[in-house]
Amino acid sequence: MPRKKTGKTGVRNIEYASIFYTDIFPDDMEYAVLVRSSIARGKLLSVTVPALPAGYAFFSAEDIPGENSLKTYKSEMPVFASGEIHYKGEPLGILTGPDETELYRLLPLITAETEELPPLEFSGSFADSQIMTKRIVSVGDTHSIIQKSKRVVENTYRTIPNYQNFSETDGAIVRSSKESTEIYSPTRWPSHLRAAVSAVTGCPEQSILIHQTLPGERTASGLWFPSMAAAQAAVASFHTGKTVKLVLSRYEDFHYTEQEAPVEIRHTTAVDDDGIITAMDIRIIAEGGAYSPFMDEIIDRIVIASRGIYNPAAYHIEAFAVTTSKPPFGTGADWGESQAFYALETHIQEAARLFNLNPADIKLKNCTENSHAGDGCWTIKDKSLIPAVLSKVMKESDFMRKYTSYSFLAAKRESISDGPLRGIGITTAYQGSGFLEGSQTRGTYTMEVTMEKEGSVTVKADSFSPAMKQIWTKLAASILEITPDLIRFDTESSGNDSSKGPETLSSNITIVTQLLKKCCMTIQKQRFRQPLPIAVKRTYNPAKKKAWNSETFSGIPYNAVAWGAAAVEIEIDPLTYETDIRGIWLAADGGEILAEKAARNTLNKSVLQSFAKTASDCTYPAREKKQPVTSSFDGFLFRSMPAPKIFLIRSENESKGIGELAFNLIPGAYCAAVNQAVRAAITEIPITTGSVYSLLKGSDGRA
Amino acid sequence: MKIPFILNEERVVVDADPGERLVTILRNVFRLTGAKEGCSAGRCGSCTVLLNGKAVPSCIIPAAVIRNNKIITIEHFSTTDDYKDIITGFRQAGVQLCGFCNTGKILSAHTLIQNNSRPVKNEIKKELGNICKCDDFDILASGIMIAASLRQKRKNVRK
Repeated sequence: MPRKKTGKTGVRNIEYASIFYTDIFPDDMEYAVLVRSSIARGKLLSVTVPALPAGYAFFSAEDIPGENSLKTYKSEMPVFASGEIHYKGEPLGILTGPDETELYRLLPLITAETEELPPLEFSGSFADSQIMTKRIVSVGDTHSIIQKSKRVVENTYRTIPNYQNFSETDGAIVRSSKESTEIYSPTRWPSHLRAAVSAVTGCPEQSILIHQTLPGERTASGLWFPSMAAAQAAVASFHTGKTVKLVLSRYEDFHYTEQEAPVEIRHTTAVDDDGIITAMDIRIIAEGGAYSPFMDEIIDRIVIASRGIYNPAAYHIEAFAVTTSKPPFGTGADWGESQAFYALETHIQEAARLFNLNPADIKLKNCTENSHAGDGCWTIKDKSLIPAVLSKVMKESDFMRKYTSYSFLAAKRESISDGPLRGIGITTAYQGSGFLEGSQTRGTYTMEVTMEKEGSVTVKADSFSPAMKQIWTKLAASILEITPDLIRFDTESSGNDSSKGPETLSSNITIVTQLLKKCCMTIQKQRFRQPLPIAVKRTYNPAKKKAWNSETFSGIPYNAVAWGAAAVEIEIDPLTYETDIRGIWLAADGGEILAEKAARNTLNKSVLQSFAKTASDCTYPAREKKQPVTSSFDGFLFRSMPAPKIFLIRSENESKGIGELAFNLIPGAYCAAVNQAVRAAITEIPITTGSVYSLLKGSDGRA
Repeated sequence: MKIPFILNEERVVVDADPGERLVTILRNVFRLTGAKEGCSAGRCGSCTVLLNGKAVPSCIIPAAVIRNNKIITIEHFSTTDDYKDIITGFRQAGVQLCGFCNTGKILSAHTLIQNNSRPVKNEIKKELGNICKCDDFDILASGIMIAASLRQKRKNVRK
């Protein structure tokens, strides 16, 4: 629709302003929307496009100048569906034009002729042909120990995606031609984006300039998904010769972008009279949707985390990822580890409740200093600090007294109105940083530091967050003995190294920070002997190390491991079933803490986000009633919630990522607390007020 | 349809469909990108603007509603003393926002302080529309309480 405007507005450079790609409006810009499949699985016969107004155009798989494929390590998926449709909402093409409103008017007029096939689903069982990847790890005769044991507890735990992110939706701004391409994207993996756009348009990688915009608070979909959006926009820009801005709607963001994979974990655990875990049988099923580029990594990490800090004599772990006719499922903030820890830690506390044992005792008795050493299985190289972090949380939260008294109160309770419905849960977990060494997802990391003639310093890294920038500035300034204002960061990326890994899994703090240290120390040694400028480049290439063997599932899986423990105390209102959080205690081992304030802020934020992931009081009104989307954004989740008490345990270990630790600790602690309060087992997150009511109603008929 | 309204204290006219959302008009026509499109359902607060002095979510305000009304966006609000109080309060309390929700938190805090010059934590929790989980609530509440006292002081000095 043509528009007129009159008058002026006062746009100023103000403090709040941050560069999101949606805030950028190039002069010759056109908008774009994706035309999507309306069926979940089938054959695509044809796409019918009506006569479009002047200036509007539609491009599909046939118009892609290069390859119709987005490659992410071993995985491949089409940029636009061609021949086959694998999920509802799969992009069939892109419609561009000068007016966004007109594009949305034209969108339903483009129709696809298809031959529908029954969708692939997962509901407890699945066909062999649906197996995307599987792992089986076995040590000792688990099944015979479980059969002979008197104390066995079994439960199945499920996690479903809980939409909690209302920052900018995915998309990109692209100006593309055969010779050069310029992209604005919130990518956290520029080298992947460059390779993707180059493959699709045929433009050489060296001629692609990427401006990284703020990635916002996104947890999932920040890795390969921006590359897909940029590749789609690049196809349109290649043909129109104009800058194309593709911004997904909130509905598309909900339903069609990559979400955290739903996981189902069945735990069968045998415990002897002394509280020693003798055997663990674990079966894991993760849903991968139609495509899941990182599923191998996710499954490996879930398998490793599913045994947590415990070291039983025998264990058997079976894990499957299954293909379904749903949009891609993949990584969350923590790559599946939080689901594994939630299931395990809720299960262990449930075992303690059933067998009248203390959960803290079980943890201390079953973890050793080197809790993962064993024959034919993985080893964590960092010394376990579980006893230290656990003791700190137990002491600060007064766990022993509260757990005993709440157990006593619950046992004595005759009706729901009889005494307070209180519970306290305690968990132990770790956060493994870096991709599993030797797995398909490895990549190289590079840091380049240049000290200029006038003494200023330029730091060039692939991708980094504002918090990381603060830490690096402080570190570089302290090593080089200069003021922080002399340090600047280069965010524009136009290199040619396509093997660089993404900024995730704390790779920046554990790997790139060490590279920065090395660069700065080298410059500091040379700066008074050699003329300026001095440029130093350091690269980390995990491929050279063969510490982890993904085939035998043995070796050292992580670059670094941060240990943590948390306790959550709750009280449930017997009339409204709403929850008050009475206390949150979290102790973390971050090794050498480079920036304490930043570390505390990160943990505070991730505690909040992990509660949002674990509890939900709202179902977002999805447009299609058949697909409700649970969401945590509808106000504060609990009637009251104090600030978390965070304790940072310093150790001689190198600095390591702790940002995702809360995701591994809080869900289990919260669920265990609810279990104790209602005397039943929570088996699914997110927990809602409705599910608390159902549990109370079902637990010995108390409600 | 031509819709006249007062945007950031200047009279403007926009040619828009009466059902078009205010956030789209502000961003796409006037390039005022301070209001961000978050939930698109009027709940997350990222698109907040002041409509006749009251904080409202611009993603659910149709163009027809703004006819002859006053809209203040964060771009203009950031030139006022009221903004300075809030940003100083946030800074002193150590509030670190993600950049996407800032507009909502700042304008919601402004409306809250305007209606209640000495808000306490529970009142802030109840009234604050923006619920982005990028920062700790207690820190944010402290920031708002500091901002309220700064505004109170400033107004007392003027009197």
